[in-house]
Amino acid sequence: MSQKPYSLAGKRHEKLEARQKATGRLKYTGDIRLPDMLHCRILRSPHANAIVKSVDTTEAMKVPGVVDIITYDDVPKILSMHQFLHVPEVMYYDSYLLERHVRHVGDRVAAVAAESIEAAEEALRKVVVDYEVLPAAVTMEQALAGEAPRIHEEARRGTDLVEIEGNVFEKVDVSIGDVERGFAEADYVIERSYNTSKPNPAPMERACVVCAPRSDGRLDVWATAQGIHAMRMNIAHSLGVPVSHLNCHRMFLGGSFGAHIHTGFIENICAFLAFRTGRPVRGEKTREEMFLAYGRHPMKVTVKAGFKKDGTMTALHSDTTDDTGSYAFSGSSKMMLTSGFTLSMYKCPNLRMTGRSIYTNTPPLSAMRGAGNPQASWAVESLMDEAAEALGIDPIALRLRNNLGVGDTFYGQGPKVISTIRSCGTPELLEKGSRLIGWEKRGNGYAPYPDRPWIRRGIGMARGFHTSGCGSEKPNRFIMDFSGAFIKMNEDGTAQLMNAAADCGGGNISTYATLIAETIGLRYSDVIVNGGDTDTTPFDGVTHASRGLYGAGQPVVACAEDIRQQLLEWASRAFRCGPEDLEIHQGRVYRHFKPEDSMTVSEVVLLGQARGWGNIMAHSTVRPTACPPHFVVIFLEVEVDTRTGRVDVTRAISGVDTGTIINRNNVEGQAAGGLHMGLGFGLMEDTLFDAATGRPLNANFADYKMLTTLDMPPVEIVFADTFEPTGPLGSKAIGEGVTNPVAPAVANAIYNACGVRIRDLPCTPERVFREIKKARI
Amino acid sequence: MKPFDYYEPTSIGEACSLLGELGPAASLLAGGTDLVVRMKRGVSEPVGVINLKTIPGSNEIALEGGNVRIGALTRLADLAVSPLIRAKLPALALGADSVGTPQIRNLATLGGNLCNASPCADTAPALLVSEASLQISGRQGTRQESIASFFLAPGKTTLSAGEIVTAIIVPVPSLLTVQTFIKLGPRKSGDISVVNTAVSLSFDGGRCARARIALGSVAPTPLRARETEAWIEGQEASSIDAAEAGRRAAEEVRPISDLRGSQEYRKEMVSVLTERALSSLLQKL
Repeated sequence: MSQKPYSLAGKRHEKLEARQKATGRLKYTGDIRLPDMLHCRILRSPHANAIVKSVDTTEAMKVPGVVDIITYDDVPKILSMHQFLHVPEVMYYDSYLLERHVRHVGDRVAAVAAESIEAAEEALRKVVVDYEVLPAAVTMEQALAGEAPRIHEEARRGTDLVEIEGNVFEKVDVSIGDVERGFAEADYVIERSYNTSKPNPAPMERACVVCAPRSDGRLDVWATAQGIHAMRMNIAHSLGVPVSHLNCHRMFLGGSFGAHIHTGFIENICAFLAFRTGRPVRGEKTREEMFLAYGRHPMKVTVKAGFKKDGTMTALHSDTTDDTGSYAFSGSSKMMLTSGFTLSMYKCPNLRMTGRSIYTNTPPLSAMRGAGNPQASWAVESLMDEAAEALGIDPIALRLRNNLGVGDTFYGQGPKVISTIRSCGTPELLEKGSRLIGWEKRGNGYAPYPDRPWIRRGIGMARGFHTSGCGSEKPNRFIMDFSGAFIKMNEDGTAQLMNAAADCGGGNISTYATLIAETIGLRYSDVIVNGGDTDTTPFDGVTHASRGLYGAGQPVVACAEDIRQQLLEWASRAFRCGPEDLEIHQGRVYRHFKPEDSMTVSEVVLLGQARGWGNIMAHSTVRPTACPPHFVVIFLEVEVDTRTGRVDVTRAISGVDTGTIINRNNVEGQAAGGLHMGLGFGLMEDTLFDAATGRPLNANFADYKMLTTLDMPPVEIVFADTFEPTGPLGSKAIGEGVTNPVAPAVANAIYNACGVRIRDLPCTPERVFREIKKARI
Repeated sequence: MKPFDYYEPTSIGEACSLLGELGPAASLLAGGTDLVVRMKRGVSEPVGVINLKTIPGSNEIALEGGNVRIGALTRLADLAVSPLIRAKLPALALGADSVGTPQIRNLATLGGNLCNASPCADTAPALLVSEASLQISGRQGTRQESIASFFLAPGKTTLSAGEIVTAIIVPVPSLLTVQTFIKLGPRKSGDISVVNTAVSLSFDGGRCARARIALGSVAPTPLRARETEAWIEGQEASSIDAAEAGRRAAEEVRPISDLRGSQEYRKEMVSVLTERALSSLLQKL
C-alpha cells in the first residue's frame, strides 16, 4: 500500500460539536427564536388533483394574530426548480410557490403568517376554497394509462419547454457496445422485473426555516439545507431577487438522507412572506408534512443479462420506469442514475439503458441515500443471485468473475459522469466477509432449532458501491461538483476554516479538522470550523453523493498544504535555515537535525505579526476529476419464520472500502446507520397512498415502520486496506454505499433460507408468507 | 388544539357528577396517550377534560379474596412488573408489556386501554381468558359488568353517560392453570398487533377442565374462540392437537383487511398464533 503513516487519520476523534449535541447546547434551526417572529403554516389540498377555483380569506384574516395570507394570485409567476445539484439546463421548472392546479394530497394552496402557530392554524381552518376536483393518477399504471389525467400543463427543462406525453416527461435510450450481439453470444439469458417501494428519509429533525429581514434590506435565512449556496440560488430564483439579497447560514442537521437536498417550498414561501411583512418568519414541517414531501423514487426495473457458461457477462440491458411524484424535483436524474448505475455494477462490454420518468398525483420525490443506486442494486444484485443459481456458479464467484476493478471505466452519476477506477477493495472484502459469516458452510433451508422446524436460517450477500461525489475527468454538463475553502491562522496557533459544506450528521465538519491538523501538523483541537454563511464562504456543491469528505475535503487539504508551506517559510526566517530543514508536529515547528530548537506555531504567527509579514491564509477551489466508487459488501444471516413470514436479521457484516479512514468513529457510525436504513428498505419501510383518492395511509411513525434497536442485529464492520490516489489523504466516501446493497442481501438471504424469491420491496411478513404459501402449492 | 375546561376531581363521585353534567362533550383523561394525540390532531375536541389521576387510590393492585383487584388507573408498566400479576395472571403481564413502547407504558393505564375499545388492545385478550369483570361507577351507583359483554364495536363500550370504569376484577385462576399471551407485528416491539392472542388452560386430573382462547385485531371487538374452547375442554393434555385447535380458531374470527394485514393473512395468523400459544402451554405441563 502506498498509504503514508498518518499521526491523526485513522484514529478516533470526538466530533467537534459532540458535547454540544449531547448536552443540548447546540442550536439547530428549530431552536431559533427571534423578536417579532411570525409563524407560517400552509393550507394543503385534500385532493390529489384539483383546480383551485377560488380562495376566500376574508374570515381567516379576521383571526386575531393573523398578519398575512397569500395564495397563487400573490406569488411571483416564476416557474421554479428545487433540487440543488444539477446544472440549470437539465433541471425541471414545473412549480410556483403556491399553485392554482394542485397535484397531490398536501399540495400548497395558501400560506398564512401569524403571531402564533395556533393563530395560523385557526386561520387555515377559516380559509374557504372552492375546488374543481379532477380524476387523479395515483399509481404508475394509472399515470401511464391511455385516458390518464394530464398532471402538468407546462414544465421547462432549463430554458426549453418540455413535451409531456401521457405524463412521461423524459425518456432515455443509451447504448455502449452492441447489446444484440452480446445477447447472441450468450449461452444463458435471464430477464426479470423488480419493483422498489417509496421509503421516506425520515430524518429525526423536521424541515425548518427562519427568514429574517436585515436592516440593509437583505434577508438572513437559517434552514435545514444540505447546501446553503444552492438553496440561496433556488430561493432567489423563485422570488426573482439577486442571490446576494440573501445570506444563508450553515446549520448542523439532525439527519437528512436527501430530505434537504432541495427547497421543499417552505424555505421559499417563508422568505417571500418575510420580504412582504418585513418581519422574521418561521416555518417548520409537521411529521405528516414530512411524509408528504420526500421519499425515494419507486421504480420498476427490468434487467436482461446474457452470460457465457463460465459466468462471463456478455450483455446487460436495463429498462427503468421511474415515478417522480407530482413535481420533478430532481428532473429525470434519478432515472438516469438508476439506469446508469446498472451499467457500472459489473464489467460488461455491451450495455444498454432505457427508461422513462413519469409524473403521478403523489407527493414530489427526490433523493434518498443512494440516489437511484438502491433501486439499481435491488434489481442487479437480486438478478446476479438468480443467474448464479441457473448457471450453477457460486454467487460470490459470479460476482468476482465480472468484477469491475482498477483501470475500468466507471459511470458515476449516469453515463455522463465518467471516471476511471483507481482503487477497489471488493475482492478483499468478499474474501474477509465470506470467511467471517461462514459462507462455505451455508446450507439451503437450514433449520437450526429442532423444536421450531419452521424457522429457516439463510445467509445472503450483495455487493455494491456508491460514487464519491460527481467528479469526472472532463467537466460534465450534468451536475455541479466543485468546492471551495478559506483557511487562516490565528495568533494562538489555531487554524480556522471557512467553508460551506453541510454536515448532515455524518461528521464531515470534524473530518475537515482532522485533515487540516494532519496536513499542517497541528493538534485536532487546534482547528476551528466556522458556522459559515453564503456571505463569507465560497460556493460549494451540496453535501450529497457521499461527497462531504471526498469532494469538499479536497480544497481543505489544498489550503492546509498552502498554510503549512507559509508557516515553514516564516519559521525558516526565524531559524535562519531552509524550510526543508523544518517539520511541524502537534503545533510545534522543529528542526530535523536539532529538535531541541523549536517554536510553537503560535510563536511563528506572532513573530510574523510583529515583523509585519502579514497574514497566513489560504484559499482554494477544486473540481474533483474523479468520482471513485467506494465499494461495499454486505453479508446477512436471517431467520425466516416460514409460518408467519417474519424475517429476523440475526447477523450483519458490512465490508467497507473507504480508502484511508480519517475518523474511525464517523466511518463506523455511517456503516451501522447505513445498514439500518438498508434493512428498513429491505424489510418494512414504505409510504402508502390510497390508489383511488391519493390520501396518505401511514404518514406517521405509528404506521410507518422503521427497525427499532431490538430489530437490529449486531453490526460487524470490516475494512479494505485501500488508498485512493485522488482522494484527500487517500480517502474515499462511505455515506451511501453502506446502504445501497443491503436490501438485495436481505432478499438473497431469504431465498437461501426458504427458497422464495421476493422481487418487490419491501419484504414484509405478509409478502414473504404469501410467496412461501405459493411455493408450497 | 382547541381550548377546553380542565377538571381535577378528588373522588370518583365528583368525577361521575362532572361527567354527567358535561355530557358527551367531556373526555376522561387517564394516561392521555390516545386522548392527547387525538386532541392535537383535532380528531377529538372535548370542551371539558376530567383528569382521573388526581383521585387517590385508583392505581392499586391487590389480592382480595379470590380476586385480583386492579385499579383502572394502574399504569401498564406497573402491571407488567407486578409480582402478583406475573404470578397469578401471566398473560395480562405479557399483554401489558407489549403495548407500544416503554414511554407509552409509563403513561398508559389499563382502564384507558380497555375503554378505548380498540379491537387490537393488547390487555383485552388476557382479561377475556381470565373472565374478568369491570367495576363501573355512575351517578346511580356502581355496577359490575363482564369484560365479555363490555365491548360493542371499535371505540364503543356499554358505558353509559356519566359512567367511569374504576377497577378490573380478575378471578385468580385455579392452581393447575397455565396461560400466555403472544402477538404478531412486523417488529419486535412498538407495533400495533396484526393479531394477538391469549390462551388459558386449566386442568383437573390430567384433563383440560377449562380452555379459554381470546383473539384481538380479528373482529370489531376482541373475542373468544368459544367453539374451539369447547372442543379442547375434556381432552387429555397429551391428546390436544394444537394445530387443529388453530385451524378451528381461524374459523371463528371475522377480520378486515387494512394497512396492517389482509383478511386472509390475519385468518392464517390466528391459526398459527393459537397453535403456538397452545403448544407452548402444553409443553410447560
